[in-house]
Amino acid sequence: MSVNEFEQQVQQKMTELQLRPSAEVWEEVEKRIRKEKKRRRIIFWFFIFGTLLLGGTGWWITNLKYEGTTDNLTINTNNKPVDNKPAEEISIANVKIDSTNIVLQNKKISENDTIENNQLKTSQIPTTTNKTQSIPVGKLTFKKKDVKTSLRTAKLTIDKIATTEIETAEITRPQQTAVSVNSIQTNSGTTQSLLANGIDQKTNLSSIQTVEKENNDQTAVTTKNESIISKKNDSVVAGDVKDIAPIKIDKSKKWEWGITSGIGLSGISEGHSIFAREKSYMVNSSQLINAGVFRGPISPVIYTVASPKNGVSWHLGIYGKKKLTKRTAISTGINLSSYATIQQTGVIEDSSRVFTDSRGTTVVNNYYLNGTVNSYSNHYYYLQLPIYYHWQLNKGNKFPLYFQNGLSLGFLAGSDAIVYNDLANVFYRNNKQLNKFQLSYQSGLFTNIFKQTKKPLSVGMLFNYSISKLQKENSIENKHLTSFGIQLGWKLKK
Amino acid sequence: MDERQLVKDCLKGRPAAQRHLYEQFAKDMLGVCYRYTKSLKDAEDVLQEGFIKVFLGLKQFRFEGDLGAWIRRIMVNTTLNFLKRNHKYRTEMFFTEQPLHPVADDNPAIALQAKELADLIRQLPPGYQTIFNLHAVEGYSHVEIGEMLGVTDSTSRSQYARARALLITWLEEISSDSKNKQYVGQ
Repeated sequence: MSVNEFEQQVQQKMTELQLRPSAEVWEEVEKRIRKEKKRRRIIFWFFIFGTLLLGGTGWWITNLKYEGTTDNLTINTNNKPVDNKPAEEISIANVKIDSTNIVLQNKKISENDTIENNQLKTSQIPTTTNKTQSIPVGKLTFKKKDVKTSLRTAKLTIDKIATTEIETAEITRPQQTAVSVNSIQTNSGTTQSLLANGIDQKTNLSSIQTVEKENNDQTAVTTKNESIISKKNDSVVAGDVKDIAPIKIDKSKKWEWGITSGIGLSGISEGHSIFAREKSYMVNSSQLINAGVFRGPISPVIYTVASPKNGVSWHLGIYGKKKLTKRTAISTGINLSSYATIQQTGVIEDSSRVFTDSRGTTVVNNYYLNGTVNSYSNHYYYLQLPIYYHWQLNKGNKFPLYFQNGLSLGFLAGSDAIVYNDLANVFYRNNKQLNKFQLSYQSGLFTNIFKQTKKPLSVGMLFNYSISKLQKENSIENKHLTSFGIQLGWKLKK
Repeated sequence: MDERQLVKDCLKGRPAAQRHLYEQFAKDMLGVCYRYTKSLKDAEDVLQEGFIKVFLGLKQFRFEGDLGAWIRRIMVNTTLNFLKRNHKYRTEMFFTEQPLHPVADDNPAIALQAKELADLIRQLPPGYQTIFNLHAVEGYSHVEIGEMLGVTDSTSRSQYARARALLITWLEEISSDSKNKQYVGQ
């Protein structure tokens, strides 16, 4: 700062200079800041609404099943109480029916089993009925949209077992109630309604009913909403199966869902190569004039900028997957993805400045000079909505190999990345330069492991390429995010 | 109103606080913009753009320094960017080598009012005007000015010397005219 007397006088005079601006200035300022605030509010609510919508959709897809479970429900073929659960807990409302996965004596009725001419065509029906048999009823699930078919199928399956094999089988509770095996019934309201003999038709309150027999002389029908209608002096027998067409259980209609995560390397592609290399920026006089940078006699200036190095990428999310055919499927979900790159810069200048770039002017509190003395980690966080098509390449089930292809729409949730200003030859944070939305192409190869377990794992390699530019259209940069890494999918429910 | 509270209220989006902050600094800041531009309209345009940046970037203010100084810095930077963008200024921004006239008094007393002195500074060629304002009024060093304007510090130094000499010459002329008028009047 000058200590010259002349400069001091000028400074003194200029600090006294005050001019009243016209009223239009404030009006315009106020209008613009309100508009910007409104824009930010819209983005915020759009984000919230989108998250809720996606979350709700995910919940709807994955939770369209009847609540609760009674894992310990047992069949006692000797009519003896075997279950110590309180009576209240044995309610059909707490039973999930999965017609595809009924287990008796650790044997499954497979999805290929059918019922023809009132006979269940399977070799897995237990032949011994004098033992207590556990049915993992907790697995008995179905979706609402399939309620008609699935319930009917479930009913058929159980009724058939009851009728043909476990003639006296009952689900019992200590000293109180015995629930007959054929007590799980549908109320489809159609000619295929399969109410057991002696059950009051007026009890068709829900789509699931159970018949309870108390002390062999009283029957109660428990509906999902817990209403009970008693009917005395009726004995419960195995329900007759009538008007039943052959039914094949179609497992492929179901959605499965799980958690997906992945880790790998991310970098910047500039179109011609997967990951970018060092780049030079030649700034000539016409560019500087066009950009409004004023200099003296100008010769072309060449700035060499180190391209970002690869960083670590990861993602975490949930997915829903539905089989289309035996070897194809689609899936969707929501992920939080992080991509990182490492930019070499010069020293940090900790002072406030305003820069002009292709997106206008930006006020920054600090910025980095071009150079190589520092390594700055750029992070980009996206909320992504992928949709994939899966195709099983081989026919075998032992080691299925899936080719996955799809698109992912990402919303920039946050970033601490610095961008390069080629006119000022500096780096600084300016999220306005970054595209808020990214459309990405994703492709990978996957296989399933631990298939025998309840929650199998899929593992594979995933490649991601952002079709959208990382920075906005009129930016000088033509960068695209890329990543490559391993991905795990953990199936939690189907 | 307490400055800290004023900023907090502005950050909460309270219109009264925003208006208060604007009223508190607008006159001074228009003076800043006025010194760098050639017309009052341009100065008001810059003031408007600068205050929008102030309000949108207010959360970056850390209360580590004077709020007025922070706003002033934004105004200066906004003005510089305006000059770079604006064709009218840009074409005249190239620093031409003008002869350096010797001046009789290197530190003349300034008898002008603030507005008169500002108008005199505004008559300097845009490049001189900018560098003179940045160095003599804002107190930036020539190295800092070089970085801000994309010129070398020696260019800034020489341009400043010429601007200063030109301004002092004009001041001497004004002073001389004033004396002559007084003499004729007697």
